[in-house]
Amino acid sequence: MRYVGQSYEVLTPIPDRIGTALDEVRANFHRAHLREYGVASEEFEPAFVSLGVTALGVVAGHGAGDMQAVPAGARKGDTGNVIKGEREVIFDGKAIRTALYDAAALRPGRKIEGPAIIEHEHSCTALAPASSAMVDAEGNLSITV
Amino acid sequence: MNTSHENGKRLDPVTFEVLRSSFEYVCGRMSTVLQKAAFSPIIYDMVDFSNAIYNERLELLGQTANCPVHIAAMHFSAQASVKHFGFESLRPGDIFVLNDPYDGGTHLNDMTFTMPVFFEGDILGFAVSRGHWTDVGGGAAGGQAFGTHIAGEGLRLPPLRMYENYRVNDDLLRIIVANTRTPQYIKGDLQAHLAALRIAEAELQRIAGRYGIETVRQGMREVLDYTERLTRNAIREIPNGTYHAVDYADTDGISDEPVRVEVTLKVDDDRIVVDFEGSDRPVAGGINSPMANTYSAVYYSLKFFLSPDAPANAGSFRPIEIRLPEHSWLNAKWPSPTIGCTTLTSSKITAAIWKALSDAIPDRAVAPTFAECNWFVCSVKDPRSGENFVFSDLPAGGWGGTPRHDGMNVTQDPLGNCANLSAEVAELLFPIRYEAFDLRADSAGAGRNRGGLGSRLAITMLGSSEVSIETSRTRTGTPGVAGGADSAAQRVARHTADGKLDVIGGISPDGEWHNPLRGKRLEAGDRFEVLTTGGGGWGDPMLREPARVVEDFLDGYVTLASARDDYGVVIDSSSGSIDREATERARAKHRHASGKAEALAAAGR
Repeated sequence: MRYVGQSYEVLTPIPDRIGTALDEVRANFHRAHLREYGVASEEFEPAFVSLGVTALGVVAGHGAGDMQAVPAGARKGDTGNVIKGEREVIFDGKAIRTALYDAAALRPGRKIEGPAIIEHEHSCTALAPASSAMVDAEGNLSITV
Repeated sequence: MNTSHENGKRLDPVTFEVLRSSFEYVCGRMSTVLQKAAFSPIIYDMVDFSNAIYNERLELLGQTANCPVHIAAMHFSAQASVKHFGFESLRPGDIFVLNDPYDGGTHLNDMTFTMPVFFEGDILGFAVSRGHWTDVGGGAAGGQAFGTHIAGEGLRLPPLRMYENYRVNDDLLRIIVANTRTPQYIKGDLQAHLAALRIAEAELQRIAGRYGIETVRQGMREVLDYTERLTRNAIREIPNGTYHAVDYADTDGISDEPVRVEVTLKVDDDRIVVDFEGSDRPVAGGINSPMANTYSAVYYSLKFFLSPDAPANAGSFRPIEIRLPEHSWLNAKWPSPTIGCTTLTSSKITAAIWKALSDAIPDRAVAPTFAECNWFVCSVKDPRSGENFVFSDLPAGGWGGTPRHDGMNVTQDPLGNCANLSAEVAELLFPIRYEAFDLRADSAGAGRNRGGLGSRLAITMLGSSEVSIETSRTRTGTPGVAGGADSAAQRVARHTADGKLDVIGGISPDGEWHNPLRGKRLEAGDRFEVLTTGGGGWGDPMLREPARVVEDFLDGYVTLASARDDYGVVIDSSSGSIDREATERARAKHRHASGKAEALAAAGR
């Protein structure tokens, strides 16, 4: 939160059921501003800039055998074309023809043998020869070396 | 002067270093708090403020270098405040405000707040916080009325008690709020300054509580002496002699005559005398520089060459003597207007001093910068709500070439480390649209090491507006040194919605020069454009390695024509490669025409 007109925010604790506790939020903000900067004034109006919520709970459908769980970012209906191509990759000083996998197309249960490169949207996973990876129910890669 | 040994002992190096760092840390805290708690974009986004702490004799101990032009000016403000109220009258929780240019201030927008810091009943030192307030009244937005009297530039505050026992002086606050175009910023920015000062108070008291007041005072004395020693050693490395240079402001806005800065540096072993004899007398328009501003400009201009790594404190002032003629535009007295002093005038002082130093230490000299701030103030009316907004920005230009490398592109002049107003913030807050902020080709002074490039800023006004700019270098560009060329001139213009070019300041296509220091009215849809200039070149451009010229061409820094005419490098535009024969011919022709090239090459090496 910040005062209307400011450009920087201070983290302000917000109680449960914010709808009935705005006065408390207001007081918390003045206090947080005072602690951060040594000054605060009721003369200025506080403003929310962003609200964050932490929620805890049990996720349904959890388990290694659940083939229905779809990893985030998976393309709808795209289950077959997981190999995008191949290129030479140097492992331990040797150039080896290596398959390139599209991470977004991988489904739980898929096993990949190294050598392989798994390309994610913003990174890639390199599987060395003789290692392997298994896609688990949440879409994580479980790698055995 | 050596005060370290007043009580016959010195601090151990560890305590010394801890205290020295503490003084810097306090100022860093002040600036973080001021920026984050502030309400106006000039402070939170553009960082046009400075914070500093002083010893009990009001000597600068530590500072944040947000605006070097503030730094040496601030102790004059603090001294004026303390002198007026008397040392004996000071109490914890006093905060004085001042912006009077003739009593330690610079221009009216720079509001300076001074607070004594007490420890167990004694004055430990002072905390001072200065910010550029968007508008404190006057005949035009931001005080940029370009009139002939200080009264037209805003509300002038002699030393006044803004807080007493940490409680604000409400009568004074109401006067300030009633005399601004931007009342919404006043109370919030004031609270931010209060926050910065109280943080400094708490930190200094904490340090005194931990080390004891005598140790802290000893530390204060020793950091000043340390910087003084380093500064004097640096002066000894400059050959004794008298060095002289001149630079000009294009205009004071009233007359069309250029205004002259003349400086003579006399280097004598470990001291420098800086003499402004020969500079013009006071001018009618708003670019006169009061003493505090001129001193500040001298100190930071020299600091670049005199042990720049030494802690920035009053120790660096001691070996420098400044001589100001009584009647000079660089020694402004009431009622000379001063609104442009911090940007336009201080940067010309720097340019003159750097030019003089290029004779003294050619192997370390830096060609002058675009020597401006190009500070403009715009009031624009929202076409939907009818509400009037005031905003400022400062499109930078380039720095000069050096013996070692090209100058920096689009970097604020040494006077301030201010940032541009970000387009994203500006478009959210004001009815304007940022169209361009990019590098301006061929704007740098050509040289063996060329100047950095200037920029192009273009903003479309969505409502009717009035704009005023403090600028110069609109007749000719930045001077080069050691055989380097001058840069292109700056230009300020209005482009109407139907494509008409209307030059507000600088040279129009018909060759006529337009005085830039006159306010201008713009219509909704007009595009306001500032073409800034680059830095001066260093060394003969005909000696620049052709491959570097090609690189500049490929980067869009120089055009084919400039590569050919200014550097004698002929580039095949389709392949981007050098035509070696044509280049050799062009350079040979140049060598023939200018017998001086060889001599300059020798000097440049």
